[in-house]
Amino acid sequence: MSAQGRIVLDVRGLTIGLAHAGRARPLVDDLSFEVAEGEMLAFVGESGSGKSLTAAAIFGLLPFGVRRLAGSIHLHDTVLTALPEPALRARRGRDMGLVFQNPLTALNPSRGIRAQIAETYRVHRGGTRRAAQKRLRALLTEVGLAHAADGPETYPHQLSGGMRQRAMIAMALVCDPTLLIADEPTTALDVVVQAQILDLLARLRRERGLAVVFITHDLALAASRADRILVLYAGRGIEEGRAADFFEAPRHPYSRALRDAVPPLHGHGGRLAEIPGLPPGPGALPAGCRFAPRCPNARDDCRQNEPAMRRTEPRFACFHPCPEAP
Amino acid sequence: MMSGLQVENLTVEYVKRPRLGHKEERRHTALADISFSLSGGKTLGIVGESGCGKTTLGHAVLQMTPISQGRIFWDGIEITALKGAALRPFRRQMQLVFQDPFEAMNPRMTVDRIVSEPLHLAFGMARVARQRKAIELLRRVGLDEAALSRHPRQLSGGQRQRVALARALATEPRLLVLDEPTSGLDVSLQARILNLLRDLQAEKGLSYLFISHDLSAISYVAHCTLVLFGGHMMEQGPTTALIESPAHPYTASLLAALPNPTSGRDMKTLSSAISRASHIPSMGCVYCPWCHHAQSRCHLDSPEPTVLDGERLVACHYPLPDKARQREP
Repeated sequence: MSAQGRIVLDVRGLTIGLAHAGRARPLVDDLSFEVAEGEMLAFVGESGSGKSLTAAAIFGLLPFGVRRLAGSIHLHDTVLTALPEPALRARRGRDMGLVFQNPLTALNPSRGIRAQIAETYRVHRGGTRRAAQKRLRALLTEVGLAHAADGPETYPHQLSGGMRQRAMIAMALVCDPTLLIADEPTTALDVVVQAQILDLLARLRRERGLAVVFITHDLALAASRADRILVLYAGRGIEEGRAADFFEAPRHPYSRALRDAVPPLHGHGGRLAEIPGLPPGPGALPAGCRFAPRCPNARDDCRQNEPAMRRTEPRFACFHPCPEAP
Repeated sequence: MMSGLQVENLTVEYVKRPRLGHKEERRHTALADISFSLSGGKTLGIVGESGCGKTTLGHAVLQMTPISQGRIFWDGIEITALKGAALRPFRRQMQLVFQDPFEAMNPRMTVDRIVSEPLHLAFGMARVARQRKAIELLRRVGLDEAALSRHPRQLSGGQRQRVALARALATEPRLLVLDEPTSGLDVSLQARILNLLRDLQAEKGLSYLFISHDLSAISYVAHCTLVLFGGHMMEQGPTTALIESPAHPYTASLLAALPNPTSGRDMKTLSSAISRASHIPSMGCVYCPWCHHAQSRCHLDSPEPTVLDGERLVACHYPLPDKARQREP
């Protein structure tokens, strides 16, 4: 599956649910995926599909009341899910970096960005202030914030949205992690800055072999920039494939609906295809396939049994997939 | 009498505090000499990156921000010459939908109050009539009565944007300024809101000023598009023509920045410069520091908007050749 190199992140059968669930469905249900060195895997799905929870689970940062019920997470040879909190804490920010959607709430508004980035470095790597400064200069130049490396400190409010996101990326990368998880890093940004941030991520992958998990709801963006795409629906992986083929012919009706919901730039005319209804809430899950109530291809068997993800390519979980591209 | 909206030479400047120890005022030009017209039942897309003046333009049209120069006409009446009570009937005809509906709503009000407040203010409607009308408005935007008693925090992002739309429609406006109405939404919700906007336009003959940084959303709703950069008009014309063959290098770079899932990842046209809004040059073309086609003249002379192909305005000394024209022998 991943020809590029060794596996950095390996997630098997991850299931996340409420600690006192009762009859509620798991929020993330039996999710498995892996990411290799230098590879970018994109998670695509609507709000509430479990994209961000999966990221939080990898970091061991699940919100209060939400627990990992089953499954394992490996980072290289380490079983993250078996580590006690102090050991996990030592790895967060060192071996894996996290970039949030909204950098303004993730950065401390009352401290300069240099101080904040240097803090991460010194906590994990120790060393002198001077060593941290040196590292900082190289890093800020690398992410395109060279002007913030010298002179008076730069505070988050002085930066534009795109530059704040660069500062977040610098903070996530300061300890040279092998894995970066970017949770909707460009959703709040305009297309020009979005392209710049993604160019930056592409360079880091190429030059450092950084493995990236990229979370987004924009299938077009994922298809143009990632190596592989995993589509999530109501907490389940429903289709996985190479990004290059994906946009041409998604096989799962949900992936296709997501693709068709984006206005085409050239030659439209009719209405945009809408996906009827809403994703199921955490309480009520329909019997059978969870997408069946909204699916144009659904038949009786879809309402009785839940399709499993195929083990071989093309990988999707559907009884009545869309036809392949001609 | 012209129906719809005409904007002539609109300029918005902000006066900045003098620097410490200096006396002279500094001015920041948010919008420079913008002209356009929008006829009834049509949509004009305003596109550009963060900080280019898109939102200021919407606010200036609605008389929400003081303008320095220029005139704005609504149905042939110069609304920039009106004040106070004389302006009020026009305010009712023009409404605004914000990008983030959550921040634009009082969190302590119910949906009922949010939607019926303008009914009270604009028409002095009685309570029962207000409620009936509020239900009708909510139904029109695809919500049911159950939403009436909810608070904004109890609604999903898509539902909130519908409530914002219902509130804007309450005064029976003829122009809606939509400031990035879908950028906070998932693609599937965006599709629904865009379809709803189209239906409402067909039904009520509304005019839209659709502000967005997303050219693909613009291409779906806007008949004409105006491209802004650094407060200046770069290019303006029918949306299809603009997208098929951009004449201004900046329009071309915006198109190149869009994710293109089918034909590789050509991002070469993008400059690596960041935060361009604060580095706009004071002379010459505002885009020339980032333009790949800039020549010495561009650094000195500010290009005047010129007519191209009879239907487009381009502010560039060296507009890109028309692809369509090239294809012909």
